[in-house]
Amino acid sequence: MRPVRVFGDGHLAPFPYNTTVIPHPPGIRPAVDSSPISLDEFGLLPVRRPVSVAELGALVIEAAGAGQGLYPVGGRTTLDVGLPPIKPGFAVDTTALDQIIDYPARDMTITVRAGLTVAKLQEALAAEGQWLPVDVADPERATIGGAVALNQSGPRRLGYGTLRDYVIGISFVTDEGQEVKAGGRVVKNVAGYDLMKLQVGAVGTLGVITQLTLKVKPRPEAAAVVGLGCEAESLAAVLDLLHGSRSRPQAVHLTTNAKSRGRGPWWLDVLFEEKKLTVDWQVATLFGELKGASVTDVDHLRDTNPTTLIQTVTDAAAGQLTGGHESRFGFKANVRPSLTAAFCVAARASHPDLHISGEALNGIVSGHVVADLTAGDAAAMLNMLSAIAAEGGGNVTVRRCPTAWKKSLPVWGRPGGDRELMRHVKRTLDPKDVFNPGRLFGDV
Amino acid sequence: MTTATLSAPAPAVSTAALVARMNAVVGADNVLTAAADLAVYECDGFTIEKHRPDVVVFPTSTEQIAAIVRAANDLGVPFLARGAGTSLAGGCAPIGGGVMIATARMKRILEVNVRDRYAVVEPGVVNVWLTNALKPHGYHYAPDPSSQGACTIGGNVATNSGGPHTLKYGVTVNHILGVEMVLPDGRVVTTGGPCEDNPGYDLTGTIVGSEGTFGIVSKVWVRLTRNPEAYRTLLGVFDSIDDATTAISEIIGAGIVPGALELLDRTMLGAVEAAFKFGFPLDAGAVLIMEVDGLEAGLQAEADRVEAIALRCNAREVRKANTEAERMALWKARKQAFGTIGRLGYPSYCTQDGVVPRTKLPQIMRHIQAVAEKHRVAVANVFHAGDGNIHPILMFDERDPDQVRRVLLASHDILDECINLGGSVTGEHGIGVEKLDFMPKLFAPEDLAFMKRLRAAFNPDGRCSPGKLFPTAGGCAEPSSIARLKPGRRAAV
Repeated sequence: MRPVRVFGDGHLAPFPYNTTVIPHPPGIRPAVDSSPISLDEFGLLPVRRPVSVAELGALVIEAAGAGQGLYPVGGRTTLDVGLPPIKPGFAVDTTALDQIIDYPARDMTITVRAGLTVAKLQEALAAEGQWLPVDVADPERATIGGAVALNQSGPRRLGYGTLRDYVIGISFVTDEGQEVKAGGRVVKNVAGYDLMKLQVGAVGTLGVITQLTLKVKPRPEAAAVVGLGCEAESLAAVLDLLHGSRSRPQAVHLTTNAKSRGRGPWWLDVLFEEKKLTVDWQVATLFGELKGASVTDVDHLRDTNPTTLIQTVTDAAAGQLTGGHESRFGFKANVRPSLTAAFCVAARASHPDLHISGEALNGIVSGHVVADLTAGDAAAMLNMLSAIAAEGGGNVTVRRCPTAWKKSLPVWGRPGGDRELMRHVKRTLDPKDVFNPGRLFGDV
Repeated sequence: MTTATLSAPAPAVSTAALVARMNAVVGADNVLTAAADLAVYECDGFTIEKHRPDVVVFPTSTEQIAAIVRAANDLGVPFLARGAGTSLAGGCAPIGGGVMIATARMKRILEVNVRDRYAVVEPGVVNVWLTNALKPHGYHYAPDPSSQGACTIGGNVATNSGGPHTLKYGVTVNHILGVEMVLPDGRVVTTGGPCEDNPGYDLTGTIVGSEGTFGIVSKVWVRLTRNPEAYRTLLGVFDSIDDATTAISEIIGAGIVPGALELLDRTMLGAVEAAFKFGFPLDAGAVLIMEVDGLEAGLQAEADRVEAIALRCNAREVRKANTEAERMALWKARKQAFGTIGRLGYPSYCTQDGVVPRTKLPQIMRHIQAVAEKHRVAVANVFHAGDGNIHPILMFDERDPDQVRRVLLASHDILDECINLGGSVTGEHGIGVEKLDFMPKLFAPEDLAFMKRLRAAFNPDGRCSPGKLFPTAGGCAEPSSIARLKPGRRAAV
C-alpha cells in the first residue's frame, strides 16, 4: 500500500509544515458511516465518513483501484449542483474532519479542517471580534470546504470579494491518496503555484479539500441598510446611480420578492458596514443622491444588525426561498454589471413566478422558480438569458433542476474557449477520473 | 556552464536558423542578436546569475507571439517572456538560452470601462501608465509595486506582484479578471474576462503568479478600483525597530485595516534622506509610514487612533502629511528607496523577500540584525511591514568573492528563519531561480510533485521558461550550493 501522509487525527503537524511521511496502517476501516445518498438519482451511493486524513487517503486509493468514483460531500447543501455522476462508487462525508488547527487571531489568519461548518468557523472568529466576510447559504450545515469547492458567495462580495480572496493556504487529498498543500499561513506569499485558486470553485473534481488557511477581517463597527423600491423602467438608472454614488456600499442586493419591505416591483437592499461615523455619512449621502431619482419607496434600517436580512437573501439566492419553498428550477448568471438591469427585467418577463436575486453591481444574478415549469420552458428561458449574458462575455449555469432535464440543459453554461483547457487540467491531475466524475464536465 | 540545479534543454539548432525564423515572424527590426544587445537581457534585478538568450524578439501582437512560440517548438529551443526585467528572483532568466519574448512593444491600453470596472491591456503596459490613464475617471489599478514606474502588467501577472497598498487592497491576483495566453504549444486561450465567476476552474487565478511557466500572457483584463476619497498619512518616528514593529502589531490588532504600513530603518533613512532631503530624522531607529484611507467621514478618528497607538508604543513623535504634495513626496521617497542605496557606498546589493506572521516581525528583525553581525554584512531595511513582508537589503561588493559568499549565507539564514517563524521565502518577488533551493524546505516532495503535474498540464515539454520554481533532482538547500553560483559581472546599483 502506498504511504499516506498524516496531518491530523490529534497528531498535528509541527508548525508550520509537516513533511513527515507516515506509513498507512493496514486494515483501517472508516467509522460512522451514514445512510446511502442519491446524487441526481444515480442509484444509492454508500457514504463513508473518514475520521482522519489517512482514512480519507485510503478511500481515494480504494476508489481509484476499483475504477470507482469518489463523491465528496460536506453539509450536503449543494448536492443538486452539476451534472449527474457517471461512475458507481461512494460518497465521502468530510464532516468528521472539523477541527480548528490554529487561530492566531492577532495575525488575522485561521487554519481549519475543511469539514468545519461555516457557522462554527464564524463563531470562533466572532469570539475575537473577527469574521470571514463571505456569505454562505445555510451556514449551520454548509462546511467551509464545501463553500470553497463551490465558490459560494452572497451580497457582501461587492465590498469584500469572494473566497478566492481569502484562502491563503490549502491542503487536499490527491488522486494518489496523498495530502498535498500549497500556500501557507501568511497573508502574502507567492512561493509555488497557487493551488488555492485552482481548488476554489473546482466542485471537488481535483481532490478532496482537507484543510484551509483563511485570511480574516475585523468585524465592522456599525451597519445600516437602505432599502429602495423601483419600477422596471427605472432599474438601470437606479443601478447607475448606486454605481456612481459617493457612498461605497458593501452590498447592493436586488430582489423581486420583498413585498414585506415596501413597494416594488424591484427592491434593492444597500448595505453599509464601516465605522459608525462613516456609515451615518453614507446613509445621509445616499438619501441626498436619491432625491429626484425614480424610486417608489425608500426605507432605512438604522443601527440594525443586518445578519438576518443578508442570510435570508443569501439562502434565497441558493434556492431556499422564504416560507419554506424549495426551488424547482434555478440558475446563476454572471453578466456585466452594466447589463444587470436589462438581464433581470428580461428574466422576469420570461416567467411570472421567477424569483430573482442579484448582486446588482457585480452582475451575479440567481433565478428560481418554485411553480411548475416544463423542461422546454426552462430551455427557452436559458436560451434567451444566455444570449443576453453572452453579449458581455457572461454565462448562465443551472443550479437546480429535475435530474432528467440535465441531459438536455446547458448545466454549466455555454462552453467558452477555456473549457477544453479545463478538461485537460482535470485529465492531467485526475487521470482516472476519481473525483466527482461527470459532475463538472460530463465524461472527460 | 550550467549548474547542477539549473539544467535545461540545450538548443539543438544553429542560432542562424533561429534568427531567420524570428525575422520571418516579426521582421529584423524587432529582433536582437548582437552580443552587446543580448547582454542587457541576461538577467533581471537578480544579478548574481546570468544567462544569455540566443535571440530577443519584440512581438506586437498575440498572433506574432503564437508564431514565435510555434517556431521555437519546431526548432526545439526554450522560450520565455520578459516585461521590464524589474523582478528580483531571476524569473525571466533565460535558462538554456533560446528565445526571449520581450513584451515592450505591446503597450496599448485597449479598453477602459469604468461602469463595468475593468480595463483591457497588453502585457507591456507599464503599471503606472494604467493608473495615470484612469485618473480622470477617479479610478486606479490597485497593485502598486515600488517599481510601478517601470514594471509591466504582464510581469505583474507573472509574479503576482504586491506593493505597499496591497495590505488593504490585495495583490495582483485579486485584481485580474481574465487573461489571454499563448500556450506553450502555440494555441491561444482566453480565461475569464469582464464578468466575475466564469464557470469552471479559475484558470486565471491559477495562471497569475505562475512565473511565466504556463505560457505567454498576451492580454489582461484588470479590475479597476475607485480612488479613496481621502487619506491620512502619518510618519511615526521610533527610537528602535522593536517599538516600530510592536506598533504595527498593535494597529492591526486593534481592528484597523490601514491602506499601507511601511517601515524604513536608520540605514535606509540615511540613504533616502541623502537623495530626497525629505526631512527624515537621521537618528531614529526606524520610521513607520502609516496611511489610512477611505471616505472622509470618520477617517480623522481612525488616524487619531493610529497616532495614539504609535505614541503608546513609544513613538517619539508622529508627523502628518498635511497636503497631497507632502503625501506624494513621502511616497516618492518610499517607492524610490531602492534607487538610493548606491549612496551607502556599496556597488551591489541583493534584496530578500521573506514573509512572517505580522506578530513575528520583532523576532525576524532582531534575527536580521544578528545575522548581519554574524556574517559581517551591511543591511538596510525598507518593507511592507503591515503584511509581514520583509525586504532586507544586503549590501556588498560583488568583485569580492568572500563578500558574495557572506551575503548569500546571510540571505539564506534570514529566509530559513522566516520558515521557522511560520512564514514564506517570498511575498511578492517569486521563486524564480534564486530561491529554488528553498522550495523543498517549504514543501514536501509530494506537494512539489503535484505542482509539477499542474505545470505539465500547461507546459508538458518544459520548454516555456525552463529551470524555474522547482529544483531538479539532486538539488539541495545546503550552503555548499552557493559555491556553484556564479558571481555576476554586474549587479544592480
